[in-house]
Amino acid sequence: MSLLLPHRFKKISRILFYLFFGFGIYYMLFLEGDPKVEELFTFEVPALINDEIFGPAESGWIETVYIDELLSVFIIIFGLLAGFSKEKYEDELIDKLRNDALRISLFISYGILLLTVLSIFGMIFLTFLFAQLFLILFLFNLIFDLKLLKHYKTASNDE
Amino acid sequence: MTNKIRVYRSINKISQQDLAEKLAVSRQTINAIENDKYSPSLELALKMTKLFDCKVEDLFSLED
Repeated sequence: MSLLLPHRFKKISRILFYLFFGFGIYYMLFLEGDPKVEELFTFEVPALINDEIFGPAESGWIETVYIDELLSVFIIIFGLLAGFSKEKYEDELIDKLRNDALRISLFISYGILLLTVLSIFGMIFLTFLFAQLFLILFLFNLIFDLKLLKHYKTASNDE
Repeated sequence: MTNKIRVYRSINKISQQDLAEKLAVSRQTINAIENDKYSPSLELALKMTKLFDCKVEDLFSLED
């Protein structure tokens, strides 16, 4: 429990996480490659390593479509904040629910990764792999939120 | 594991909310423990026995 963040981060980060995750899915399905969006989000950014196909790896400033990176950063930060911020009444049962959600999401995520490795081939494999970077965080937050909902609901009127 | 928290609570005339506040947990957690949906940690169990002034085996028992 000592590694948790204050409760004040919980609500806003939960909303922003699902919002950015949803937008990330929408972007991957419908907006990726759209010239207007790409133009809007093309910046010159520093690169520690830039490995061009058929070229040497270099470091320095590069111009790139930065929307993937921005979405990734927001999803990771808000996902972690949402999952690891304290509940209003944080106690050992909430901690157990959080641990259970993390364990279940780990199993499901690696199960899906196994299926992906065994059944998806070609360039689309990389898209699946990229999407699965965030799957464990999404499943963890979703399962934890569902468990919390059930926890608060079932114990509402029993005195 | 079963427990007699509800019985001891009734004897001591303490609501779930009061007990939860004394033990620094949520009322939902007390409810889950009473309904055998969650087994409390040793620390929480000992806090309860101290509060009800009883032994651990008076409050908790293993199911056959």
